[in-house]
Amino acid sequence: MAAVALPRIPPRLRRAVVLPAAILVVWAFVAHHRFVDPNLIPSPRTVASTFRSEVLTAEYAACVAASLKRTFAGYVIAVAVGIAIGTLLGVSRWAERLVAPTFHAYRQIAPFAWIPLISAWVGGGEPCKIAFIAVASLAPVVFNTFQGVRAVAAEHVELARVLEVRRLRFAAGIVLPSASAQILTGLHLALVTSWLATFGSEFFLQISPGVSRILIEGRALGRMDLVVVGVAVIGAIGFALNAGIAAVERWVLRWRPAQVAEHA
Amino acid sequence: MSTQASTPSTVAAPPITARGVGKRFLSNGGEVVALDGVDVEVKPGEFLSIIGGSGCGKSTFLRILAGLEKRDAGHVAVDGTPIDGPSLDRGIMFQDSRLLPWLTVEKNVGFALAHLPKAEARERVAEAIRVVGLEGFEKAWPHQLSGGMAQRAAIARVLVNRPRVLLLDEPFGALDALTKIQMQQELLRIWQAEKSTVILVTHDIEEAVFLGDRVAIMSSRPGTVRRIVDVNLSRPRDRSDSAFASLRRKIYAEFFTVSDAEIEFQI
Repeated sequence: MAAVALPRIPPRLRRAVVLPAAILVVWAFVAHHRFVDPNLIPSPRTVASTFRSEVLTAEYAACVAASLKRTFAGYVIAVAVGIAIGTLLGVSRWAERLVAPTFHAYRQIAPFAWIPLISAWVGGGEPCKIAFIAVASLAPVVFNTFQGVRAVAAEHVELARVLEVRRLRFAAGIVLPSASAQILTGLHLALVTSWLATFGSEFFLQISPGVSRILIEGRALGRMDLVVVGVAVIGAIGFALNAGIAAVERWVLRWRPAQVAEHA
Repeated sequence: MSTQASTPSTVAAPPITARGVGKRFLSNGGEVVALDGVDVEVKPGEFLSIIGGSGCGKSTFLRILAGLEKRDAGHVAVDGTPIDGPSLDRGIMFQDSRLLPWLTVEKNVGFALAHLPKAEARERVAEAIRVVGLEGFEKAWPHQLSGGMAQRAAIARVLVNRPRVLLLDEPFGALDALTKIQMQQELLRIWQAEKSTVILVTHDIEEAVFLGDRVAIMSSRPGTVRRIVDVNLSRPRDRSDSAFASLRRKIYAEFFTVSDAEIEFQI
């Protein structure tokens, strides 16, 4: 059966599956022969049954929805603020001199360092989580927008002058599209960061419904099967988000002769 | 045209006057005189070719007429109105098409028409695309076009604005020889239909003679118009015609010694 089905899988996908499959085999082997304490490394079978009982439930679906909601809330704020700041920095020399040094200092600060301040201002609840996600994802948006906007070709600026293009149309019709590849790189990085920060916000701030619930429970109860399931779910959702934004990138940049390279 | 034009576009091609135009650039701390005392009078509806070697300031002169560069001395006017910045009334074409790669051909062509009602803009774009012979490529991306097609799209983008003056900065300089000849014929057809005043900058003697009513010859350091040659050849012109060849040779002799010219024409 496998021999018949195999040729239909594209070679790239087949190669991508090799490592996870190998890990699964080693894991099953180790668990089966009880080389280590099953409480530390639960068997694949235990993990699978935990997955069914914990993840495939309406309650957990609501948790995933709650997490994604805060991911997107934080992400949208980071994108809106980031593109505005990045564009301003890229367009105005004056703004760049005034703001860029502060921004570069800000980039060096780990997002977690802001948690005490944010929670002091807006409490430890939902607004705090969203603010934390936004703060964590802001830098890649600002940085890439700034770089992209600053690199607008002189020929295109001249074209805008010749065609008597107004300021707003210049920004929307020439500056943003010409910076779009770089801006999208920023948006891509920021989405990945937003998802990582969502987990951070759930782990370090007030407990509330979210994907990390399983992980937090597993840690509290010392149940590694829960932890492994939690890690797998977070990874899978992150993978899906990454694939989603990569598809958006390809679609937006379809005017380019070569397709966008796959992001790592 | 089937509809009434909202602007009296091609009704009157304007004269262009340039007197004593001067331009200096700073380079490596020194001052370079790019243009000095350039005098040109272009009659309404005339096609003037400007020819010169690289660095003679011919492009700078054209950019001053386009309003992209400021002059340091002299006077330039279209229809008696001094030039003070770019205007859609003076369409300029560059050696590169400068199509915006993220817009389709039709969006590129209509880029400057944002101020018009949608239906009118669409009609003008379709008309311009038809004039340059790009029907069927409206939805193509610029990277899918050949060099000649990209320049056609660039011409269309100029034409939609119904300029009374066309300023062409070596527009076919990057095209292969056959495409170039084809584009020259297209340009003449468009010029005769639109009845605009045209100034073409080129370093190609044959192109200057084939297209121009007159050919202004520029010399460099400082850039100035050395001579203006009348091209008294009836249109359509024949490149293999002996009058054409002798005129070409005459201009050739302006740049090279006559013996070089003889060698060239013995072939």
